[in-house]
Amino acid sequence: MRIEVGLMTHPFQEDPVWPDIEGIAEAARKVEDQGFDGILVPEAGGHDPFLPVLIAVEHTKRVSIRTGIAVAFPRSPLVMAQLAWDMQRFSGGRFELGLGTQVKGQNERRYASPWTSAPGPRLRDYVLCMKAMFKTFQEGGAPTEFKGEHYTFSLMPEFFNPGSIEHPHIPIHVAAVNKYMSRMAGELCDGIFPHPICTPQYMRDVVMPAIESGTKKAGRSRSDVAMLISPMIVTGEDKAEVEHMKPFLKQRLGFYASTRAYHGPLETHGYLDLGKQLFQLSMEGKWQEIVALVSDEMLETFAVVATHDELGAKIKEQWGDIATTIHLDMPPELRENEAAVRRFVDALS
Amino acid sequence: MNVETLLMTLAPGQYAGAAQDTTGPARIAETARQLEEMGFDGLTTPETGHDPFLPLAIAAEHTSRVNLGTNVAIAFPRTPMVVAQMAWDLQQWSAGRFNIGLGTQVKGHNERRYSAPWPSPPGPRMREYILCLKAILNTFKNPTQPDYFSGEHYQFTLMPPFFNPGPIEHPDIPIYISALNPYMARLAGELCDGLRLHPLATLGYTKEVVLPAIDAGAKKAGRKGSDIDLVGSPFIITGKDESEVEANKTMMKQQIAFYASTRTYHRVLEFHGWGDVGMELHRMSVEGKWGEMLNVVTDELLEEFAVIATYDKLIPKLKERWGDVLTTTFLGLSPTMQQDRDLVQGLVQQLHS
Repeated sequence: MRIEVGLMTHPFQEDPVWPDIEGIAEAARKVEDQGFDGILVPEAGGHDPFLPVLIAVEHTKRVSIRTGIAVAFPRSPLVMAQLAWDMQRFSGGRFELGLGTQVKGQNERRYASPWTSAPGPRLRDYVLCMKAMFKTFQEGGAPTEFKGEHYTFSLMPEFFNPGSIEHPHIPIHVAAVNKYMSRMAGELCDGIFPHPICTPQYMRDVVMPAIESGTKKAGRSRSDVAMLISPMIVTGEDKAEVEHMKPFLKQRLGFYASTRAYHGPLETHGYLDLGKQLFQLSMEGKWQEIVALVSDEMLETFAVVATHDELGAKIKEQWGDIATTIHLDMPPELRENEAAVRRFVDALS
Repeated sequence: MNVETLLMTLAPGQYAGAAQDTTGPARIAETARQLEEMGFDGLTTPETGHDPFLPLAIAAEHTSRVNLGTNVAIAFPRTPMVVAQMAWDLQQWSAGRFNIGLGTQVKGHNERRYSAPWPSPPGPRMREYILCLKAILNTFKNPTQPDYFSGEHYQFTLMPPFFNPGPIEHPDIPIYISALNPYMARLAGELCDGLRLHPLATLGYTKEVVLPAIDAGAKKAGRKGSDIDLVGSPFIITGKDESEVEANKTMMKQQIAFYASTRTYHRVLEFHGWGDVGMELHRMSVEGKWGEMLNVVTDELLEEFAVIATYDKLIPKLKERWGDVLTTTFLGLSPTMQQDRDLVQGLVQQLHS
């Protein structure tokens, strides 16, 4: 099993700090030295994900580096393709592009990005359009034309073509919660990045069958699609520290559970009514009340709760037969704890 | 006068696309350091087949004094939030040396290359884009007082606290737009910190058309036209002696013919009574006669559009023509020039004095 580490501090952690260039460079080098296989940079906290990816590329030699995820629609397919192509060139083939749609409200009202229709078919068009662009970058000459319902690509003067690169296949992963995206990942993508709210049971009941229907449609096999799992974790050196971390994770889980697009996994575990209630509270901006409604039991269902020592084994127990890659949203204090990191890596690999 | 140039190492004969040097961060860092040492005030990146923001992050890391900006990022294919997020981090990483340069590109390139919709005329849409971008940046600066914006094309009405990157040390990021027509120039005067003149803008056109429009926009906003940093990027034909200058004319004719074939830019040709030349070039471009187009560009036309002089006379001539109009000059360097450190340093010094 591959193990990835998130480079940036998650905004739901205690005192989230977005590191500067030196901080990113140092963290990236350390992750590589510690033997991890990859680095992940989210589009979180109001920060662009590509800039930290670039700094990580500059300061490492071996690890893979991916966006997890970049929000697709606010960037046109060519904007995304240019970024991915440059990053793949700069990294000598270590870049992977993780894409997600975010939800309607965040697109329209935060990103100032129109939400013209259902996100699934639009993202499918988006990925196909980007693939046509990549082919044109690599082969030069007349563009490999793409004409979809949402995206069109039919112009690429030589002057604007970035030119071929050594590793032209850039793995594309999509973030998914629901069936449509899972099927699409199976049909078109190199990996699926289930939302952290997806539990192992939800994966078995909903996501994996959908992936298989997608791979079948495209004549591919299940093993063509990497399963990039990013469990929510509540961890600390001892039980008391774990307790201390719970409120931050409850905040995060409450935020996810208040989002209607993520209600599938809630339904699987009997929390749909609570989800609806949380959605109402989120509309009223009552974030404190939302946290209060997330019980310990609910947290145990959706997150891996364990001390540093137990964490590796517990993740393996829950996710071992599903994940090809585990992304660990590792709090800085765990990253600093060399012994715990080593135990964790040993337990999983 | 301030002087800026492109943050890239060039291959002979080309200046974009596959030829743009993007072999990797190490090379970009080296180029940025060299150009900073040569004395430039600003380094900027075009968007010609590559993302323009990425090299600036590397430059922010490896330089300490020089300003950094996009020249220009194409606006509509990325929403205001995408630009705001990148700009905010680059501004923080560069300790306040970043500026945002935006342009619209033309309809065909937006729709068919960028796969970005073109729902209406670019001017009014760009105006909203900048207002929305400013509202977002204000909200980053003052998280407790969201500055929401609702326009016809852009909305910004949501900013949960965990998506707000929060205040930074130098929160006022200058915004530049590229402009050729009066609408955009007025817009720059009204809302922006600087205007990047298209290379095709001649001195006469700039004085008669662009400057009055900047003033009108500035007046509307209760500002002065001189508040706007006017960045000129005149075509330059140069070389160590007359024969090199002569040889470089052909390449420049090709480039001017390419721009002059684009109808969006015909306003300048018409200003000089060369509207028919523009139409002829447009016809030839449609017929794909790219190789013959340079023959339509006469020496007289070339003199109007380009500053033509040997290295030793270049800056005096450039200053004589543009000195009292521009506050910043973009000095394009040929690959040969870029390798001659003393030459470039001398040119920059002359522009500074």
